[in-house]
Amino acid sequence: MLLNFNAPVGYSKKPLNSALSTIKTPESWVELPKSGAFSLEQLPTDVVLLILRFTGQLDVLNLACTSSTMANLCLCRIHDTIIVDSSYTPFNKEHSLGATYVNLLFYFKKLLRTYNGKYAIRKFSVVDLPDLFNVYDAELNNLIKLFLARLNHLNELVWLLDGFRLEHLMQLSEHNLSRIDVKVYTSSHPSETKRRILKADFPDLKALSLSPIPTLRKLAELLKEFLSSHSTKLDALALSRYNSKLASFVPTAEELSSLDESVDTTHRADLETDSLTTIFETMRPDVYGSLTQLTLEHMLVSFKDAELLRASVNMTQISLLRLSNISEYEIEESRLQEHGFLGRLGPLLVKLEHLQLDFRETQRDTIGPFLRCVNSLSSLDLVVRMNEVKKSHINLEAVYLQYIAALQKHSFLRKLSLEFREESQNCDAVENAPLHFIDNLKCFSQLSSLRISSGNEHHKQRLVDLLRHLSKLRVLDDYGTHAGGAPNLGLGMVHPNVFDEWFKVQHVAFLYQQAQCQLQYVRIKKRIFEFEDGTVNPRVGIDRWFENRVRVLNNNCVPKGE
Amino acid sequence: MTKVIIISSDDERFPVDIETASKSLLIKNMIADLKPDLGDGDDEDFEIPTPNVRANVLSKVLEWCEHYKNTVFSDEDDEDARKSGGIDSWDRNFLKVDQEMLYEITLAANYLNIRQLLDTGCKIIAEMIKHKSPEELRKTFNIVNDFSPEEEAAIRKENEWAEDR
Repeated sequence: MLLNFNAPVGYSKKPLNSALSTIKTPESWVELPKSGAFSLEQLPTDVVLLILRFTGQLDVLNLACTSSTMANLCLCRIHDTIIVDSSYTPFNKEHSLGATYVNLLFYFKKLLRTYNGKYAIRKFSVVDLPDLFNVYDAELNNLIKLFLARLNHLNELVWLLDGFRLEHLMQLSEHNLSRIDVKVYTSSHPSETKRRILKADFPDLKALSLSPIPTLRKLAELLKEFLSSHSTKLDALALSRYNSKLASFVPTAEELSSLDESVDTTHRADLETDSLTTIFETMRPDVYGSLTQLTLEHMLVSFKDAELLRASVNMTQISLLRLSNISEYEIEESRLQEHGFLGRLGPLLVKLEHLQLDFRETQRDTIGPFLRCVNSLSSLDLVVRMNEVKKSHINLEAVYLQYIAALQKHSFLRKLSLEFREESQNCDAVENAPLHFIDNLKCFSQLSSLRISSGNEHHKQRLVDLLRHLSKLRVLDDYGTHAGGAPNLGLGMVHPNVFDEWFKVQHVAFLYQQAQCQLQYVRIKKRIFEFEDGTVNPRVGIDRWFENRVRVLNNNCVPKGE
Repeated sequence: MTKVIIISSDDERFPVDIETASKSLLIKNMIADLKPDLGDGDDEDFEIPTPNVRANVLSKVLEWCEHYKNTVFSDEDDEDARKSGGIDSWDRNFLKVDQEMLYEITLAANYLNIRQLLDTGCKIIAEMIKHKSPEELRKTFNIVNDFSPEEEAAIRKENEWAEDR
């Protein structure tokens, strides 16, 4: 069948030849007949709180003004989970209804000033700070410090933007935190190096996520500060040496392949190859004994580290493993045929469900055999990396066939992200998924989300064929510079507006939806569309939500029971 | 065929098959704990009293269970997906009842641990709360105002930070 990759699309968000109406019937107002004098206040507290979790924050505030009983319940719900996120709008249904959002600096400051501790804040997250927020503003930092001092019942603290000062944690009067996920403020300024060590201990801590940690000394210091309590036993640990947004390929593939011989001692010390030794030998072994989720990012590892990991963590209990930008070094010629870092861990991962793997190798590729021996996964986020050194040592076609054979073992996957990257000396670039990879995904009938790069029309044709087989697919992410193909400039050139970037690719969104009518969301070249009753609607402000749907990340796998 | 007899608070008996009754996690667990061989050739019916649920409410709840007896609901570990999911049109029509009945069905779903029905009931009530002023809410939900205008204004002012715009 010949597909039209450049079909015109009108303002109706439908192909121009579509005769369907664009006018939607508004949702009927819910007005049920009343009987008797039964009041909402008479419902049990747990049921009212559940109702309030399905209710938007402004409506909950209105309900709080009705009576003192309702005020108590509503204000508990308003304060329980607070998320500071500048991308929030009440019009996006994807945002969690049970949380209270703050999206403007004015309201954020108001919260910091007026919170009096009467109602417990259990989860406080800062995921995207409002415009004009200045982390170096002394007054604002002081407000945050005083605010944290009033959080007596805080269980979860998440600060996903740079600049969280650890001193703020000392303000917490009771340390019953079970989850800490912070981007630590680090500075080489002399005053900062004299920072006081945290006196707090966190006996209930179950999930710890820290980044960036630029030096091993800092890493050891931080772990000692957070995990010093004798009763701490973590369920989830995530450590990233650098900021995830930076693609740091140090050392280069050439250096990595001969790290022992070619790199002088000083440079090698700079590369800091002992990250895992620092993590696992600094602390008592029982801190990591019950880990079920482990994330390591931006680190160098060797086969010896795998032995250390096996000795320190019960790998048979791990259900989520994320190895992101992990580079394997120290492969002697004589050891090439032996199991490397992954090979030593694979057979132990019998309970693994969610895997993100972005693993750099230079003289061999052990990912295929690794995927073959791990447990059948439900989510896989795989980055396949190639570089010139690796290509000179392996047969690329044979390695890809190994990957495909290994992937068949995971045909019950519900989430799959495949990314192909080619490294050069100073950077790396996204490559299109090889065609036979796309063809071989047809048996993944359980997939509900897929992330893949399609480039030219051949690729798109194969992707469209694939979509016809994936009847449970709801979310599709077509990424990369060539995603969506040549832009459709028809409307955008005549009427430039904020949705220009959406206009350029929305005809492809239609094409995908025609191939698979069950699709609900498509992202093409970073532009998100939602399908609803035959129309395609551009969506903004839900990028983080979408990313969670298509990738294997930490924040969509918080330990159960927290 | 072996039946589960569910008895309402006013002693009305509702014989239903095991699949229908098992939509209630409470009943499912009771069967598993007290009568694990029910349906395996054991001809004796199993009676379960529900002292908190009136007959007319129980009949509605069992109608819902019968409708969904062959539906396998996903685990929905994802709390956000559970909250943002819409209301099925059959459910919407099914719950077009008076307010008191809606509350009672929701309470029964809570007691019998039928999560999907409980969520749907709560979502319908949440929709009734939507876009209403405090005065309209008092009228809709029979809430007696015990605030002075100053107290109401103080609540508004103290929590102004939560007013998304």
